[in-house]
Amino acid sequence: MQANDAQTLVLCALSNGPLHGYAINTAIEELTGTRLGPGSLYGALTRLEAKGLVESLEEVDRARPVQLTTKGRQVLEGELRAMARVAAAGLRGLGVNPA
Amino acid sequence: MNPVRMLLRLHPAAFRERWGAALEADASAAGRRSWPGLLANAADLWLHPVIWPAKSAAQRRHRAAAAAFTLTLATWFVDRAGTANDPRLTWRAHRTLNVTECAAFMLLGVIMIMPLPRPTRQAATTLLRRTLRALAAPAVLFFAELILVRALTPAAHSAAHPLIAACYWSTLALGAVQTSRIVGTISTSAVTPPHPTRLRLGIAILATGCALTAFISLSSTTTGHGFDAVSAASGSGMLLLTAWFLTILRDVNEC
Repeated sequence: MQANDAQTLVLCALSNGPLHGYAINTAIEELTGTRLGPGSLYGALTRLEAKGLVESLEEVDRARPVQLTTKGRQVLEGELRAMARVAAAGLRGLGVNPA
Repeated sequence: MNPVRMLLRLHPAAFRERWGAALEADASAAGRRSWPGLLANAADLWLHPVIWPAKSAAQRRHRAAAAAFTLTLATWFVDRAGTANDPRLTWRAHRTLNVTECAAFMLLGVIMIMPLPRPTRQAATTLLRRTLRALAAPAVLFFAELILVRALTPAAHSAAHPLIAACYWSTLALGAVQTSRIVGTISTSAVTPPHPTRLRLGIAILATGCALTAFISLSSTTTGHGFDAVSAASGSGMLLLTAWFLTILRDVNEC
């Protein structure tokens, strides 16, 4: 996965708790400045659900929220740590303080 | 019809049931700029049947088996077109291998991926009824063509050759479509999906068989009498089918 990968962004958006599709996209917009297209968003959710990284909750007001599974949390943490290491190394190489 | 609904209808039913309402609402709010993304998502989902929303892991394995079986029939169909164009493919050794042997090798993969019928009378009846219903039309067409071909005089036969060929290929295609529909839509009360290890091994065999067939077709493209466009097209088509087999195998491993 990459930082701008739709699946990573969805996992990041869900790190604060369960959200439904529209709310996930709003969280991604706050994070990156742009929304995912509906096709990309629901395509990513389908893949994440198939991999067992997110799961659906009971329907609330015709919207069905999804949340991270334990495996999803572990995968996200691993990905973010790897990205942080790469980002820190890159910034050090550029002579920029990572903090 | 609303364009968003039309694009939504291009998605697999399992996806529409799970995300259809939310996707329609979001896409309607996003407007026209969401249309290409919806189309791309629909195409992507059809390439990856294993990831469609499912009730169980067994349902995903059944879908993987059905998709791999459909691709095998497509490979054999393209293979048949290639050998009809160049009969030497069936005996030309290419040192050690010909397409008939590849097809036999793929048969081993088919046996491994096939959902197994449950050992009950009800399951056997369901399977038999489903098979007879699905294959009745192609079987009738096949025998009608056979009778027609035998009844024609040589002169009439050569005059009607394009029509007979068109009927033959249409019947073959219809039979392939109907057979893959039986495997894809048969109820899990009648069959049990393949075990994950058997499924993975079966798909790997099918991908290998397809790749070898593609190699044989492509290697015969420039031999003989110059460039053979049909061999090139069938070989390229089989390379794409090989990539599709590998995509299914990767999805089975990931899900």
